[in-house]
Amino acid sequence: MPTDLTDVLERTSAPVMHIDPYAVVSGGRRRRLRRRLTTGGAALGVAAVVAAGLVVGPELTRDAQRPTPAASTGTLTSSTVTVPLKGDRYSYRLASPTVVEFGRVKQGTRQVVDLQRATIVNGQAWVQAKNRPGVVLGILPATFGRADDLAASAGSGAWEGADGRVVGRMYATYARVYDVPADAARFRGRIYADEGGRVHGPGGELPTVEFRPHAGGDPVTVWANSTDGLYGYLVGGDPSPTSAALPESGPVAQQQAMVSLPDGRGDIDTDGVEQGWFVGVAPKAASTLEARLTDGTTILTPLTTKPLDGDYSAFAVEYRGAPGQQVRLMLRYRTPQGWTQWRQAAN
Amino acid sequence: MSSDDDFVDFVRGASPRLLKTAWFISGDPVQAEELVQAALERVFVRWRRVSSGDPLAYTRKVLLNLHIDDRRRASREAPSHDVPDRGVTDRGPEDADHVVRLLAALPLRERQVVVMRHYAGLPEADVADLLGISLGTVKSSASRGLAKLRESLAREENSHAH
Repeated sequence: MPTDLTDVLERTSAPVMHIDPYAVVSGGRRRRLRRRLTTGGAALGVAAVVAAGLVVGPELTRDAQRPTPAASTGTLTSSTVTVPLKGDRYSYRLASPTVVEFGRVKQGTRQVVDLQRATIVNGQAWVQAKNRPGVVLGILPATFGRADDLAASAGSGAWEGADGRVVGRMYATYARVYDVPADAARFRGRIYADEGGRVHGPGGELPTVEFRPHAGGDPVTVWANSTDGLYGYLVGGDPSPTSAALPESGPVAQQQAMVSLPDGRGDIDTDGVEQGWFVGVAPKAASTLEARLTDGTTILTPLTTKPLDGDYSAFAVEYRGAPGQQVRLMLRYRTPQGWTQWRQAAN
Repeated sequence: MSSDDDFVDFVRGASPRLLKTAWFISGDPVQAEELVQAALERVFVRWRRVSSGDPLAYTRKVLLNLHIDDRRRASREAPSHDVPDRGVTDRGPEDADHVVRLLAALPLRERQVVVMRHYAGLPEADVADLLGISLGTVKSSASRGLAKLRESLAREENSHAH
């Protein structure tokens, strides 16, 4: 039997499974960064920043120290800046290309409860801190992570930008930068949200997302290779963070979604969150999205939330489950050819 | 060659068998991919240290721990009322679902031991080290696991014969 079993196990054909080594590397880099940022308050400046030769110190420009209702502009001289909250907009000129990290710290501490970074080329970054105990702005050299695999992203209404300019709004939520290979058949995204997972843009609009695989370059339609592009990511929040790198008690949850495209096996993981948004991308030809929850509730959503480059539109669906209840979210969309197959997301 | 290149080579070389191992353990190809991806990300963080030793063994260990974490998390979920539809077909012993179903019928410890011994090909002492259990537990788990697999197969053969 043992030899037979070994033979049987060897001969057993596994389903198609794949690991992208570069996605692993990118994920590992993010994990390493989170570890660095959460394992020492002093490390908030991040070793990589110091290594870049930037001046490390508490200096802030006058504008940043005394926020005014109007947008303020200054030259960033320190690698780590704590900006007091007043809902103001800050503008910094940065070297190019630069990876900027935005994080939020708990009041009176140096503990980072969330973090974001984006790649900026030839431009400025504005940080709008609103209703927050403080915002930490760290400037990292682009070499910390390859700029082109950071895929500077405008996500969840938290980011807007064009070449040379990134505007970050640090309220309600923000998005992680994504790894989106230009030839991606699948992608992995992470969203960090707080305040119950409510996500909205500055005007209250639904979250949308764009990917820019190359910093400063023209937007690339990264889903061009997909054959049935219903995919997206989930945003939401509950009091139990799933990442060891995040504080156990913070109102921050990590979401992740993983969706396979070409083989038609959409697999979406809500990762333990009972309510939130599913934000995704579907073909422009799709007219309606239908989402079905565990209790049979059906949600029909028009799929014209925001047109994106290429043949796709972004959409968002809110889902809710009772506390502690498992949520299963079934998704499908209708095209002129009919309804697609159901995809399931579950926490 | 840079450290990242080394790591990428390692991922390329190790991931097929890691994926299949994870699939045997978890019974779910999607979860297997997630587990292997998550395990490898953790290995990447410690690559400099890990690469000088036995990175595959370390990855297996992380993989198994992550699977246990996943199971704990899943056990807190409310059960679903829905019973998934399953077609009934006559399956041979090499049928992938069949093999995974047989393995899934084993308790986790026995499944881990059986897969590590008979798919990963690890010696008993290495399995004990990997799972953090005694050699005796490895032997007894392997013995019980194989006996149960035999019983299951015999039962199925009998039911086919009638």
